Amino acid sequence: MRRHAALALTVLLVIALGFAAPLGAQEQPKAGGVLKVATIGEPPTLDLHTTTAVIVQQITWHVYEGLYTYDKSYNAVPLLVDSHAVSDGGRTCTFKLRRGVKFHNGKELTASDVVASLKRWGRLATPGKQLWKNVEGLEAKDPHTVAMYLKEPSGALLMGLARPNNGAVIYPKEIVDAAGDNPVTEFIGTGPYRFVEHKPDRHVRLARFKDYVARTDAADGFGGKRTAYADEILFIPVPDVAVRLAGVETGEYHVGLQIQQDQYDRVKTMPGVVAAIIKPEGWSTAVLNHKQGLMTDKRVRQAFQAALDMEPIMAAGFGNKAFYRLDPGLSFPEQPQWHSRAAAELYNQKSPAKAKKLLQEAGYNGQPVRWITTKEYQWMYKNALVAKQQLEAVGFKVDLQVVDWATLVQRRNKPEVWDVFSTGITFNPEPAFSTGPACNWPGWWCHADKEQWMDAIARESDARKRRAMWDRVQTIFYEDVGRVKFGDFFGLTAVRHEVHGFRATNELNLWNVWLR
Amino acid sequence: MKTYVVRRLLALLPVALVVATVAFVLMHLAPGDPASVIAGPDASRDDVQRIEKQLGLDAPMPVQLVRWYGRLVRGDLGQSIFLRKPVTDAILDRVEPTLLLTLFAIAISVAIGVPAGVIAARYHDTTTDQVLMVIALLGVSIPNFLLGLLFILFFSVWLGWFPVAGYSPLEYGWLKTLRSLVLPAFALGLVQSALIARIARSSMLDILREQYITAGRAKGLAERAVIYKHALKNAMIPTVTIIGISFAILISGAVVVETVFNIPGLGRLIISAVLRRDYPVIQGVVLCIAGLYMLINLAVDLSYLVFDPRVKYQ
Amino acid sequence: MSVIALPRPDAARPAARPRWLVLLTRRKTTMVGAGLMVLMLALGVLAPVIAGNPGHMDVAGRLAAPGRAHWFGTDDVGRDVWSRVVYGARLSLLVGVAVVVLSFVVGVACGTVAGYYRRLDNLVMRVMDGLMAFPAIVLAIALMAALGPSVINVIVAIAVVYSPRVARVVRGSVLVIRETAYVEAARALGASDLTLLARHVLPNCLSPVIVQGSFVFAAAVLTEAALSFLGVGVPPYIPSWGVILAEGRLYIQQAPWLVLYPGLAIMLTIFGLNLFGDGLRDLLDPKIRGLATERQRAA
Repeated sequence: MRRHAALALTVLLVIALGFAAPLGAQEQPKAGGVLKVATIGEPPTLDLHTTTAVIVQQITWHVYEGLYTYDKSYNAVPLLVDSHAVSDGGRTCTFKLRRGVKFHNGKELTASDVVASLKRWGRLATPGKQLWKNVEGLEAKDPHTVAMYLKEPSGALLMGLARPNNGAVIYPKEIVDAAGDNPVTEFIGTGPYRFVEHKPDRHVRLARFKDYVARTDAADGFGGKRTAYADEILFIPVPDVAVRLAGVETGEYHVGLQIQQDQYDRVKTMPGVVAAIIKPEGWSTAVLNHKQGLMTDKRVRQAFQAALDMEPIMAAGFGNKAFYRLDPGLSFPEQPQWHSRAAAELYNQKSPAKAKKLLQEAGYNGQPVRWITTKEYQWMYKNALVAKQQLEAVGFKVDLQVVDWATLVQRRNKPEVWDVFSTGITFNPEPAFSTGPACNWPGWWCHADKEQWMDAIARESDARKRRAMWDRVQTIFYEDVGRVKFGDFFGLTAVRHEVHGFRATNELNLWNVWLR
Repeated sequence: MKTYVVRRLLALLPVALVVATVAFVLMHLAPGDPASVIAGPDASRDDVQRIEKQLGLDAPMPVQLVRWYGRLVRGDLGQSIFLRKPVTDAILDRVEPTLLLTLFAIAISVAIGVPAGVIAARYHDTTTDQVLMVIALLGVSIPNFLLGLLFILFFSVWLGWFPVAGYSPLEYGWLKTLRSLVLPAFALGLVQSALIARIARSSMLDILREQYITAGRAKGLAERAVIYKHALKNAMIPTVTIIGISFAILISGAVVVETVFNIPGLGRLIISAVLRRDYPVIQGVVLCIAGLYMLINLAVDLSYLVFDPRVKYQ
Repeated sequence: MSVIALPRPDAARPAARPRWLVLLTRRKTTMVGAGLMVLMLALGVLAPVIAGNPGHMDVAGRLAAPGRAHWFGTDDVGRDVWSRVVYGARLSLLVGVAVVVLSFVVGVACGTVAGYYRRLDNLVMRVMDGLMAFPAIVLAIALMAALGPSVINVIVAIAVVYSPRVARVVRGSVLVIRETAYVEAARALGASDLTLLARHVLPNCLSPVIVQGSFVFAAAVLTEAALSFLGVGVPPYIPSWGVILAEGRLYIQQAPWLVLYPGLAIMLTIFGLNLFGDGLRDLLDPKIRGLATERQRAA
């Protein structure tokens, strides 16, 4: 498709404008409008305590807030908390809550809401359970003070509370009490947007919360002052990525999430559309079942790991080289304080001979490897497809089961139905809470040494010691083949140029964002 | 005539019974026992047993079947696993786009198909006829989803005339709704118009062979008058009934096209239900569409009574 | 809306065969249709010779435009689109033939039983009517939901959908033929039911069944493509035209060949089958012109 010079010039100008506007940000923010976000599919639930699904976090953290959040450089900063104090040698943490913060039902936020919510989070959420191992008690000292008693001092507590994914958000106590461990049925928080309706397969509608009490400190990352400029936000499930992108191109949607990375060159030339690269987004992986079946044999896992050539796997999944990177680290090079090359020689081995030998030793005789993947995330399917070709070349028999994401998430909880499933481990600033090496997560990779190191990281507050422990974990990850990492990937989000103040982050915050 | 209508209605009963039975059997064909399928993979043993009892799956098969009929008569289609609401509600939520899309597509297919068919018959065995009929046959040969894809490419992406996909519900204004349905309705309607053109042509040809037409010609009536006054009027009878049949056909066509255009109708409902293994929803949508289909076919057959005085039923 | 068709008395007589062929070849459109069918048949049968491994991925050469190395370009994981389209033809052929055979075995059996043994007629035909009360694609989707994705299940599902349509046609013919003088005569001479059916009844309802065959074939190919396109047909790693289209649509702007070639393949195949089917119908079964066939095709 050749374009005329004049047209090309116009296009370039528009792009230039598109890029310049958010950077310049000279314009005064403007309230109003309906911000339409094309998401990858239906949220399985709107109860953030119960799921690590990114889509749920992206939608609901406009509604719910936690005690802490991240600033620009991913340090924990207070959100619902005014200040906190540590005493008893680091074993007691006292949080002073901000006063006058209102829930969407008009009730004022008090310590009892925090206690009830955090306890539920500690019971149900993946990062919550992990953090709660170190929590002895939690109590409301007065309506605006909460005390947390720890078994041992923690270097990761505030980061854990700040984590948005499956995050420690605060619901009103009554709602927590009514729901117990079942999913909550009323979606009420303290956020700048309130939940209006969820019409399955149509949209989730949020509207500005008029009585929102914002922080007064300047916006910094996700912290500081939050303003709801758009009147409403519509999260529209558009499972088809081509439709998402074309919808942004035609102006149907303002933001198209999870655009295929190999559309980058095209998105760059689209008039009125800005290509936002989300770097890093996560690492792509095959999760192996350590609880039941074929993959409980370490030699089979090692054969799996040895057989793979990551370059074509990642290229098929992500297309443009600007969007993937072959790297052994469980943390990203963007986090120099954590990134490690420990056991790098076991990553990307491309050694069919070694794999064949290991398979032989394991006495593998062609039992099918049941691999669950999904086309909802195209790259997961394609990673799996190419990996299947490579695995079958060394003698594995792979039974690829392609299901929708919701089904995958449900099925992965049943150890008897799968051997491998596809997923991405999203960027997590705090290794102690990363699902990468987690034990109480599908795959159930529980390894005595690793658990010890992970617990130590959670307790330790000395940065250098924590880093050394993380290296140990990574080494075990490769030696025991906890999961099989394919590589790092970056995300692509297409944004209309009339959207201002948009930050290219995995978490997706739409407060402080306005429509021209 | 009344007895005929009554008899037709009665004749529908066994068919409806078979339809209900087929839907029942479908559920039991599914791998694994239906209760654990309904309960979902996360369910505990207790949940499964509770559902087994609730649905009466512990009873012998014939008892279950009779109960199933009973529930259907009461309009109870059960509970969706994934959407966590009654299947009837889920269906009612999705009926609007599918019905509108179908009606729109019928309008298009008739507006194009009938004139094309009449012209082809008028110029029977000429180049015009042959060209029209080859085009129509080509039209019958394009799957509607392929046509839909090509439309998206040309009209939405390259020309930007229409939204690329999605559906704007009536509550946001009918004009927006119409706009969001133009491409899918054409993708659906054009294929159907090819079919209608072929039908209109053959029924027109049948009538042109009738004696009264020959008589008219012999009387010295102008060919135009013969075609448009006498023949067309009579050819309309089968053509009008075709609209009814088209409605039935297009509803099932919509199931496919909705996926191409991301329209949240019955089609998307059943496809996502299949992918999520939400069996009650699959069952419900299938029954609902089959019911509609049956009623429309009945209405079409009965419409002969009204339109065609020559048709007599004993 | 039942179809009653009297075959022409000479249709089944061997002596008429040459004329049959002459007539068939006289119409140009029928020949074009036959040509397209032969082409598809050749592609499908010769697939291992004329195409490479359709599943082989050369990721480095992904999304290559049509050229000398890849006539039809490559897809998003570097598979050769030509090979995939050719193997898609093989799958379509397989599904088409298998569905025709399966639905004919079931349909002819049910139709004959219903038409010949009047006591069973009501029961058999009510079941058939019940199955036909479902729109084809909807019933196929529901069956696939119950059976799970695989090639065999796709064949079974589509055959279940189309058997009643075959049964109906067969029953209509049998009903007429069993009352004819020569069947009466044979019966009077003491021929058994089986002999009667095999020697006299079935051969005489052959022509409407053959005509029906080309339509069932076309419908099977289309339905398979639609099911696979929707993601409820064959598993996605099996090259099917529907699967190629579903995957190609994501790249419709960058790599239109991913939609164009499989789309063209479907169109030409169905077009050829329709042309041929129309020719066959006009030749073998002139009485069921018009409305009746169109409605059959539509349903």
